[in-house]
Amino acid sequence: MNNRLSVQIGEVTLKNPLLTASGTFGFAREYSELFDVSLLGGIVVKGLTLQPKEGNPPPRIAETPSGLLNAIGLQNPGVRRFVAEELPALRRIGTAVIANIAGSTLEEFAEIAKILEAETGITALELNISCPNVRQGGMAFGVHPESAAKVTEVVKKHTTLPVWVKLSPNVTDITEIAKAVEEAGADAITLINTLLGMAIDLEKRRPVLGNIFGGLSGPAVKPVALRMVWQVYEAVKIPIIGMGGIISARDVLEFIMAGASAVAIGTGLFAQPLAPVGILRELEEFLIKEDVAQITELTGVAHNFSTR
Amino acid sequence: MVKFQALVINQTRLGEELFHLELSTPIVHRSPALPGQFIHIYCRESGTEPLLPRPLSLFRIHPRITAAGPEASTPEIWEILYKKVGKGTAWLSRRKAKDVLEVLGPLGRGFSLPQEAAGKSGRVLLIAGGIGMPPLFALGEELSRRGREVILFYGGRSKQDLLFLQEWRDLASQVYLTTEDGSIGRSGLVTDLLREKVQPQSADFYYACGPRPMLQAVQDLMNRLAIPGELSLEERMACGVGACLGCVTRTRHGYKRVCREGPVFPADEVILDE
Repeated sequence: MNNRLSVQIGEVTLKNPLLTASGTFGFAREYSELFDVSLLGGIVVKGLTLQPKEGNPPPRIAETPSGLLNAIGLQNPGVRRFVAEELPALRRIGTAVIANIAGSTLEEFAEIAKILEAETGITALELNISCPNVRQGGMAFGVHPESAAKVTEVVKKHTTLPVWVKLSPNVTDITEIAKAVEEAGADAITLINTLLGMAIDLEKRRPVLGNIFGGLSGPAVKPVALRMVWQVYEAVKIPIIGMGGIISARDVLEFIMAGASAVAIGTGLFAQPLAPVGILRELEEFLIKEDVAQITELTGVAHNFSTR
Repeated sequence: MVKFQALVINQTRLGEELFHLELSTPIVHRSPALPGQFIHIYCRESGTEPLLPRPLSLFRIHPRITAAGPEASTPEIWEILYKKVGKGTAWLSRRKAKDVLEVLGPLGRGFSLPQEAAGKSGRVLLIAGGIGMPPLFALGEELSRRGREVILFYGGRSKQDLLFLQEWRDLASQVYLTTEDGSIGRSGLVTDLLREKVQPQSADFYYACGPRPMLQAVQDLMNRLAIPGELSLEERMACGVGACLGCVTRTRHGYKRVCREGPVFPADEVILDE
């Protein structure tokens, strides 16, 4: 692969800026049957909790105009089974592996970080303080600057891995949270998680989702996500991993020009399972056509226009 | 599973909202589709609307014919029956011969085909409700190829809902029909007729596909008759490959993915009463 696409997230080098969003790619097993997942810049695994988690009662998903509501509820085998059963295969893929972790308490975040600290083959931790679909922890940590900073600080104390913090869009001012986690030592910021939403089943006269509320993702949220990447880029110095509705190379470039150093595709995979393959090819073509030596040169370039 | 382009051979309208689609699947290296498996069709004119693919089960699977090595093999032909219910299926219903469709599949776990056991009747019950019929037809064809005796119970709202009855009569030794409006067969629900006709010795095994309340009634009845079987389930689905955990159903062993461990489950495993 040409290094035109390689990017730097703090001390981490990724071979290209395209990651998979947590919760949309499992532990890479399934999509490995469809395409060569080592092409990806990295794989962000399904959110890991300390104990195995069963998740929410179905229905868990609802399709909306150009979007998807989900209320999976962090179903996962727990961090220990992840280490025993999933990590060995992930290590062999040959791309960055980012462990998304979700504690319901500060102690749980610390415990999960400690367990993963003992393992090789993990590139970074992504702190999930923005899941809208669980009762404890989840988004509660991510909607106040103080608690977001506290989680970051605690995890940083228990790991030598870079710590990325995934922010919720369900806040009044995302830049406040971004600044707080930067100050607390976050190495990068990931945004956005899903937007809280719902759908009603007219025939049954009840909410579609078993959990009543769910998180909205997909192309429908892209403008909101882009706006937030833009705002956070102006508020912090640490790198941003942008996501929300990415399905094409043009979407990726929009996020990068708004200020992202890397991006993730999530729901877009469900609409186009082979999208990553085409996106990487088209990014390369775009750089050649526009005579850009490194994709990193494009990060935040759209801001130059606004200040002119 | 493979993502590929399938060619529409033919599409016919069978009734008000019912369509019959024939696809040619020119992928030679793919493993053959099995009865009970399903496919995803990306029903998108352009852009991102509707976003998600439509899961559709296979009504008939015509194996590819290999003349002399894989190069000479013909494509596997898949037939699909579906009901137009929304934007995606409306788009699909407008496809014509020679149109190309984006397809992912075959997906999921299909029906298991139990071995013939000594001292057993060799008879199998197929229980179909409405648009749940298609995967059972593919299964029925496979069972009859294997020399099993097939008995069909097939229910719907009205006469127009009961499809391919001549083909079913050719396939099954007995065909029991019910409609809610009494326009063909017995008036009432398929489970009522089932309750009346089936005894513990009637069959070795059963397979059912249809609306959830029907499956629940079938599961309950068959459990009391001590006839084992399999149920094919439906659930709202996103990725279709097992990654998103969106389509789970409750089982005795926790939540299972309908798209991966299913859509066919052992009847004694799934918990339908919620």
